Amino acid sequence: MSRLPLLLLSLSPLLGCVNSRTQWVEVTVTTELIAPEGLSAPVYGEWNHTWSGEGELRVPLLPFEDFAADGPGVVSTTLLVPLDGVEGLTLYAWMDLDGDGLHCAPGVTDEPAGLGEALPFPATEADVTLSLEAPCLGAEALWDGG
Amino acid sequence: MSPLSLLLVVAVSAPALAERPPPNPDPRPMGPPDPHLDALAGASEVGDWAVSLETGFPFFGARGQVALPWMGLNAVGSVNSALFTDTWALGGVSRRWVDTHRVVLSGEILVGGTIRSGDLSRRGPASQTTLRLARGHGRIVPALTLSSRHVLLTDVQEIQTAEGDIVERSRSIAWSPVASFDVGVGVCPGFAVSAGLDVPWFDPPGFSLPGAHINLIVGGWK
Amino acid sequence: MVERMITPLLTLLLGCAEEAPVYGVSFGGERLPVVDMHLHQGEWNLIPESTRRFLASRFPAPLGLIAESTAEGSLNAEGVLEQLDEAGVIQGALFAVYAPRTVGVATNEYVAEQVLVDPERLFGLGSLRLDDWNNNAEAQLADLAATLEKPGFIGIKLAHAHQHVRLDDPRFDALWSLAAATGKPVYLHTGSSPFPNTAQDAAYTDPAYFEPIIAAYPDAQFILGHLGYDFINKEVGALDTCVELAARYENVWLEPSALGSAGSDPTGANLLTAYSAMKGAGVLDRVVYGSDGPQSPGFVAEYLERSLAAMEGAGYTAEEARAVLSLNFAAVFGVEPAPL
Repeated sequence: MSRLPLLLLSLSPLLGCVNSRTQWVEVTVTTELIAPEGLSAPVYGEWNHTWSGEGELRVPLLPFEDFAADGPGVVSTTLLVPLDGVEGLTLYAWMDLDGDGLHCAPGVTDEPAGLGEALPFPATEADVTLSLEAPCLGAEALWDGG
Repeated sequence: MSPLSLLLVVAVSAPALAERPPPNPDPRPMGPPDPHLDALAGASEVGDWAVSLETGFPFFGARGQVALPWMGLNAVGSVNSALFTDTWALGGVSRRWVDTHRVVLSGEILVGGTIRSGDLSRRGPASQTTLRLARGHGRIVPALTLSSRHVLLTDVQEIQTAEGDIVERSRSIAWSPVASFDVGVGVCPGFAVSAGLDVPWFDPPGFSLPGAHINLIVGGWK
Repeated sequence: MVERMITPLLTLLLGCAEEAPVYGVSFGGERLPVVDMHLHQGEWNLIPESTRRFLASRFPAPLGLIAESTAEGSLNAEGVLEQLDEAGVIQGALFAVYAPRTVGVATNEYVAEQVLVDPERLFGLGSLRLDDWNNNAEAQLADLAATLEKPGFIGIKLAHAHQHVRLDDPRFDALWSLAAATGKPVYLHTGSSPFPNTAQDAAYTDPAYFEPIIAAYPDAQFILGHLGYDFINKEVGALDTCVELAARYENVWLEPSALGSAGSDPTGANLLTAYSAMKGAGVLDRVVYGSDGPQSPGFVAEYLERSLAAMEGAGYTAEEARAVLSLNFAAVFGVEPAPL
């Protein structure tokens, strides 16, 4: 066997011009935010990778981008989501009833939150419905195992 | 391009553009070659060659040069690695710019590639421009080397969109200069050693530890 | 192979000569023993990639190029003991960590092995995964309870910001009850964190959110780590909240680790402020010294020096320093006071 291919193969990393190559999907998510009757206030939260990591480092809900909406209803968001080493797309959000920018600051007990998975994913269009009904719980407390 | 790079491009290319320079009024004395001077000065006299093997912290490497029969140029090949993790394989040309009894100054331009493994991995086409200043001929040769190393980093994003797949490329240049000070000693004709200190700057502006090395140098002559 | 070649070179260059360790520090004309309650160890491949890059970039180059071997040299018990010896610290506590999004995982089993390397000098704090608590609570609690039975385990380590759990999360009653029943104090990271993917919102970092739990479990001992320091902006952050909680609740202890490092508090002014505030509030009987080492070569010793300077600047007496440096550790964890 000629040694030339082997030599070229061993040198190829040095000759390679690309430092990194990553895969992404640009997804437009239609989100329906449902609040308890009579409640309306700005909604904040985060987009999460539903799963990330491997082995002992595999973990649900890794936030990667903030979410904001003026209030309950339907909102459309376009996200650039990485696909390497992560799975799924899940939205966590909460309603800022007192307008302090904090989710249930000490003494506040009524700001509702919700968690929902956007489907299908990966895809360029997805939908998620979020019921904001759990007061003062973080995304981790709403996670039921997927 | 850094000012040093520009200076060296001018330094190396100028002789090719200009008339051949007049004979050196202070020519190098005849006699056995000075491989340590050749290696530390970065360029050999016509027909000479020099090879150096380097070991130390953090750098390990090998470098060879052979004088070409035109324009005072030397062909240079270099493989250098920091801790066997950050490896540069480069080739190019060098030329003595100033050569007197007191001082030898040379410039060098190399191109090739670099690959760094580990958690700070990176790879890409690379260049190195070097200025070498050595004391003139003698058994003991002190030398100062200033190198400016650049690597072109190309990051590719493959994006699925509703309109189809698109590919975006972003490019950046990482700079890692190195300064070295060596003292070379001729052991016997054609063989020398040098020891030196390195001041590398791996990922500016972060702090880098200084280093030290030993070179084994061999050389031949016409 | 590479490490075998590099280590002697590094040793040569860094001048790591072997000397018999001298334990204790001089303060106020007295020789005081020192216990470091906050030490990390673990395995490099159980740290997430983004954090490995973060850590590697903070090592002095070119050590970041060989981050794994650099880190693992100091992240096992032998490496930790070397740093303790260098600093004159007689005992230390190793933390188990389950924060797979941020700082990674150092399992209870691993810590148990490391503690046994020198059981006279090393203690362990166990921990547990919180990331799937709704499905996995019983198993996690059982594992923690078994860990706390093992030799050398004296407490529980949690880091809400790293583990992505709100400080006021109501789901952990069984955990607080376990801490109270076993008499094992709970160490809590408070304040922000420079590590990638940390939950930085106030609910995850501000100890004020934890007050209802402190009040509800007076038999459980809580150690507020880092004094609520804002590591992002290098400011004292929730220091006042921590000190007030310690003043109001007898089951609150304070631990001033990491915040006074050269990187997080370059001038030392914030660490001085912290030590002054704790002395001013009259809570020095519940301040426990820790460094958050080993981090980088020499860190444990350097942090101790900076802490002693802050105590001196804040006018600590030798007896107050003795309490902070060793006696309070014995008191909160129920172990024998450290010898000199």
